[in-house]
Amino acid sequence: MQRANRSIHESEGFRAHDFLTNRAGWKVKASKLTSNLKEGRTGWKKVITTLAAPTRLRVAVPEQLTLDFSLEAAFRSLAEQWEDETEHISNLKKAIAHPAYQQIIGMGKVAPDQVVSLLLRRLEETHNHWLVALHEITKQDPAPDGANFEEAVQAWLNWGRSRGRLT
Amino acid sequence: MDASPNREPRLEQKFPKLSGGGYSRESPRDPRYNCVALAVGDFNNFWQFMGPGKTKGYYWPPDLDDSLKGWIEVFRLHGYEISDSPDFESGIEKVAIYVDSDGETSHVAKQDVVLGKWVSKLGKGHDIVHDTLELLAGDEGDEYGRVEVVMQRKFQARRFPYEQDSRAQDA
Repeated sequence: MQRANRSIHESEGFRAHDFLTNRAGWKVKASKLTSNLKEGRTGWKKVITTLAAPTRLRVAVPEQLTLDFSLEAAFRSLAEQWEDETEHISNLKKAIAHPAYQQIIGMGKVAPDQVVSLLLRRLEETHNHWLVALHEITKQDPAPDGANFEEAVQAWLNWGRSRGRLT
Repeated sequence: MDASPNREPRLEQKFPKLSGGGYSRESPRDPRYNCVALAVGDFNNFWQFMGPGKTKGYYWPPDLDDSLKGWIEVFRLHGYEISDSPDFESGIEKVAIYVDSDGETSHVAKQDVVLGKWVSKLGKGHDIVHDTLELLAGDEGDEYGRVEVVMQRKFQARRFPYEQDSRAQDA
């Protein structure tokens, strides 16, 4: 039975790999998805193929990727985009209005535990301006009144460690 | 064109006029302070108006906002007055405030009182010295729009981002 399931996953994994590698702009590594499929962690539905045209084969998209996998990849992509595209903006309010930053805040309102942990890890690595996102998502601000930026960063990192959200 | 080794292709992509002008990168990236902080000589704070009840970790003088008028008042607090020229004058410190195409404040550069060049902290990134204000002006890439206001005061202290000793003393 296990062997039969593995065979099905491998087949679907191959199709997923083929699907992803043939589409530009899909930033997820197909090989990682394939390995996920092999381990049976995703909710990959039956792959339906239809012939849209005599010479063109269409493959169904995955119904849903695992949350951790897709959320972390999406977060990383958005965070890198924001850090790159707003590096030279002097007025932070404009940088925070950037769609990538707002998208991360939106993700945090849907999945606060995961996104706050990702934000804290990013903050620890880059010391970039993720304080506003953390504040917006958690509705908390552990920084003392009058703290400068670096002091506020340290306050947030300590806050994360004390709650087990940053190891 | 300046033949400084401290040129950076990535900066020239973001600010195309730099590629044909004289400039020099003078610091690593540093998100802890910004252009206003540099212009007032405070490298320990990120000077940013956030509004009441907003995220902590940023400094802005009370009762002022981030409008052009607010920025002008910030520099008035530091002894600057409106100037009619960005041209170099011995013994005079100048700052130039940029606004974007919507008229919103976008950047401030400070003039080096000895060399007459301009010093800018580019957002959360590098400090640079640039020959002219025009090199950071424009609306194509990451440029800051246009210089709207120049302010000046009598020379008080030389505090530039590339003077590591003075920064250490500030800290």
